[in-house]
Amino acid sequence: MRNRPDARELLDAAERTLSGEVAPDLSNRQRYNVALIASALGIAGRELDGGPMAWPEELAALKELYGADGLESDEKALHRLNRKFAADLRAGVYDAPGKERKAAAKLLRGDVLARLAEDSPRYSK
Amino acid sequence: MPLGPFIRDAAGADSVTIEDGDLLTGGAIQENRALTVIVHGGAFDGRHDLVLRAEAAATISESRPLDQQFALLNAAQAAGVTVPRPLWHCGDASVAGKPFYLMERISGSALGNRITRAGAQPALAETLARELSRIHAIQPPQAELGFLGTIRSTPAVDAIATYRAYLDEMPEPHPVLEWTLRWLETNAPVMGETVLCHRDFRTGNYMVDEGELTGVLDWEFAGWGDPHEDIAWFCARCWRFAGPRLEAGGIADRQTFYRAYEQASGRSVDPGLVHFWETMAHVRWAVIALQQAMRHRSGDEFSLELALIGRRIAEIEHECLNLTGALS
Repeated sequence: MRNRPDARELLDAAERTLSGEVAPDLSNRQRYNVALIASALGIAGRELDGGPMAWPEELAALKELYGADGLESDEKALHRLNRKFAADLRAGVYDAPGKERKAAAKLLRGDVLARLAEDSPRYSK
Repeated sequence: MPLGPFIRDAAGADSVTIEDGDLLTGGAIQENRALTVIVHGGAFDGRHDLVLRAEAAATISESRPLDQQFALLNAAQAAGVTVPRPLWHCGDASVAGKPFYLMERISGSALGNRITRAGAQPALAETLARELSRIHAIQPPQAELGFLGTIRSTPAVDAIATYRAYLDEMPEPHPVLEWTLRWLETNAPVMGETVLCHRDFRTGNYMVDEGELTGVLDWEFAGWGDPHEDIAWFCARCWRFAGPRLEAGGIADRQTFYRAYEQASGRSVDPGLVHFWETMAHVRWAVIALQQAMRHRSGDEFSLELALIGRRIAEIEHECLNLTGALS
């Protein structure tokens, strides 16, 4: 078992020290860099909280569209199925209104909202 | 030949003294250096605050080479657009380490957050609309702008093909962008009027000094296109900074901007076409953001700023889904 503070707590502490204590003493240019670093720490922390996938239901949703291959790792399946999904979208496979198009839109929505929560939590939708 | 003698010869001066300047902020793609030059003799006699613009270490595919940017700046100035006065281009890399051009330094700030935090600025939006109409008054053919090429199919169809080709170079698939490109393909408009599009005409790319416009910057993406492309880019959600509710660049409502553009250009703004090009705008910005992040990821250019642009994609894709009706 790891010691505390854990990764999340360390990132929070680092971000707070950086933004609250380091930044006020710096030149504008370095303050900009500090804002970038704080932003990177924030994204990384939220990504850690979420586990390997931005949206845990993503793989299930893709498998519902394309079927499962039991031998593949989740990561590999995610990549392969997203590639297939992207190619099908380009080819117009999901053009026709109906159940499949709705399922595709739902998948895209879930994916974007999950990434948005990690990458830009303050974005006003 | 060092920089001093280059300027001396270009300016037809007796001698030139250079006070070395600072790297200016802004411009993730290009390198801008402030330079103060004292010219003795000739037509340029006196002190000049200049900007030296050179290409950064790695560029993205859409970016035009410096000699073309310089020609575009000249064409814009000739058309009455408020721009930093272009002075001299130098293609010889031995002068300053890489090719560059020099232009007049204009006063003010281009920072999008700073400009939009000042709230609604309808007069500035109207001024910008008139500037845009002057840019759009430049129509093909133009002898000095031959490098712009010709539109192959329609601006929309060409853009879709270009962005798909860029996506194909990326290591990861991007289903949201594919969805949006397909939407663009099935909703593509017929050929409209062809004008010079600035292609980066937005808050963050013009300088403002005490509320007044001092210059339109960053001509590196300009090309022939549909006028609605620039109008949509200016209004796109991703360029409103601190003013997301002020849909024209975070500084005014759309109607103010559209009306001033219509009056100045004599052209009517079609909201349906703006919606189409605004959707294209987000795909374009997403693709550019992917390329920017790749500059860092590839190891070509270490930059936390570029790396973080890669995590802006979610916001851009959210707007793509919004504009294609996939959010509801």
